[in-house]
Amino acid sequence: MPLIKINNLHKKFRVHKKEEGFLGSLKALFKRQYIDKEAVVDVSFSVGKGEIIGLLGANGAGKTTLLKMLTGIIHPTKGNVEILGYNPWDRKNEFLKEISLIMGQKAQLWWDLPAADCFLLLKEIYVIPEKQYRETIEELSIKLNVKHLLNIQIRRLSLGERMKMELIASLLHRPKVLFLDEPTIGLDVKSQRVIREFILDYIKKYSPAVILTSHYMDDIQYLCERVLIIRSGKIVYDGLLTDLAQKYSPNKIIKAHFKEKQESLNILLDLQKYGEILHNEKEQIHLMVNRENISNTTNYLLEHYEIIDLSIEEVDISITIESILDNKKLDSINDY
Amino acid sequence: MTTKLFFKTLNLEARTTMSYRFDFWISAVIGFIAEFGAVWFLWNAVFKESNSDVIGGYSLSSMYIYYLTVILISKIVRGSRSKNDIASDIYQGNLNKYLLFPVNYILYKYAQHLGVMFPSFIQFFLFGVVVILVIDLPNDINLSFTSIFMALITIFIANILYFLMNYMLKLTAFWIDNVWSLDAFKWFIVSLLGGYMLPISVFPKNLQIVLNYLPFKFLFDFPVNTLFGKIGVEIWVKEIAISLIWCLFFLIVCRLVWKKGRLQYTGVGI
Ligand SMILES: Nc1ncnc2c1ncn2[C@@H]1O[C@H](COP(=O)(O)OP(=O)(O)OP(=O)(O)O)[C@@H](O)[C@H]1O
Ligand SMILES: [Mg+2]
Repeated sequence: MPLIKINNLHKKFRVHKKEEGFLGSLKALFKRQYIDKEAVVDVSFSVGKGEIIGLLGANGAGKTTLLKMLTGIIHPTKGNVEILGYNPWDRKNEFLKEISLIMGQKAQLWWDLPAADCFLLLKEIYVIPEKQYRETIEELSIKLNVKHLLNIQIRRLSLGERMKMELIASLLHRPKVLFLDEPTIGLDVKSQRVIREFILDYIKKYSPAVILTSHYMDDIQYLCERVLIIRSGKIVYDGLLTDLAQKYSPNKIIKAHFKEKQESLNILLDLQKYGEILHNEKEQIHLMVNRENISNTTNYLLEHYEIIDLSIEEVDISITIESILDNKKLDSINDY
Repeated sequence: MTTKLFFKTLNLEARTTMSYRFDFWISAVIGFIAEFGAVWFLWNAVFKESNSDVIGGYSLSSMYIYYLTVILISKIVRGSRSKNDIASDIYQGNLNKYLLFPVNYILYKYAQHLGVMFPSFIQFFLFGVVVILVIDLPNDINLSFTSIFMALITIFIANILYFLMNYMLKLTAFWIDNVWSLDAFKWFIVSLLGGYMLPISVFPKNLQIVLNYLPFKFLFDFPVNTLFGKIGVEIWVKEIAISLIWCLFFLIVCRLVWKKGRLQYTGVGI
């Protein structure tokens, strides 16, 4: 049985247009003009126990809006959400105790308190048993290497340190459903890795249902098997990350290692008939070729040149995703 | 929301408030002197001009005591201005986090409110003791243990009432961007009709009758008169019942507004 079930979810934001200048404000006093913005359009999917979904989309695609509806912060315009059998909008305590939303963009902990005090407060908020509380703090703060920072005010911590505290805070009550909205935003490569590994660790141990959004492909590749791609509020892809390339990338990359350096312009011109040369250095040439021409091209290469090694690879996944996010062909253009 | 969480919140809030406010005592004393000084000159002039010894049942000296007391009591009834204002929670999106917590928001805010005003409590008692020891009370003021006890209960209820009225107003931040502009207006109404600016007995009789049916008098006028021993126990019990009904009324209104407001909320800031 899925832990998260979403059917035909919509969210329309109504914003009043603020006109420029004093006259504009005056006019707005009497007659306000509204613009409707469809942030989420007819989204349906479900997530099972232990499943980790990567939610991908450009800025403004509607990812955060979707998460806000799933956590009961905002009211859906249409459609329904069921998480662990509850409707998030009702904000039942039993439901709230089982979920967590981690936002990389915004501090949730109390700015003026040291992490230790924040955690104590959360212990009371979530009514966490003493023993579980102690063990969790001990374990997590050592794992993330922040034990020595527990008594420093949150506002004095660096972004990365604070994010680690936020992470600990949101896992204290061992949520069964976890929403991560760009948990690694703005962090250095090492911290990103630490946090990724840490999240994976939690997932392995407690197998929650997870929805993760991130603009870093590394996060997605490391943590998620299944991804949802959202564009202008609509889900345009729901499937395995590994299938994505085959379905949407028309090209593959042939990496050829020649016996000797190819200097003549001829060969380059020759190869360009088959595809785009991405890389040409020493004996190495990387060629991006349409899937259909892969065998032709390899045959041609092997027949005409002396080649030591040759491999065929998928295009980098982030390039594929980028092209999906940009590509207007995938669904009807007039909605874009 | 558990009792433990309630007091934990209160405690933390009190601690941070205290640690933040180096200027707290200085500003309190200066504010007190300024406000009381203005009143002093004003009523001195009024009594002199009108050539009467008693206005609205108050002699000049008991008028001073009235203001002294009402200023002190208001510190507890109003609480301190807090950075955890409900309106800014809504406006800046801090509400998001409270919506995720399995706690009752209004109770949580009330705990914070009590915590933030903790220093005011200390001020209230210190100033109160000084006033009682130093100042000769006129004989129309009958301070007694009973009246002090009754007054403490009254002030406590006044605090809840004020909190709820304020909460209701602040919830309009779901619809309006700048609720703070309403703050001054609210204080004007409440202090005028509640007996902070003037004792209600100074108003014309008709107005007094109207004010009697409104909740505002329970904020300042009624607590002060209770403290001064001007309210008999029987009437006091009846008035307390009425003030509790007002609290219930505002609580229900707040709940309705909260429900409607949440539908509007867009979770800004993330
Ligand atoms: N509170 C709001 N009021 C009005 N419109 C909003 C509000 N929040 C978001 N929107 C609009 O809804 C759309 C989706 O926003 P959302 O925050 O969900 O995007 P996102 O996918 O999370 O983007 P990002 O990657 O930048 O975080 C945007 O066009 C945005 O302008
Ligand atoms: Mg977002």
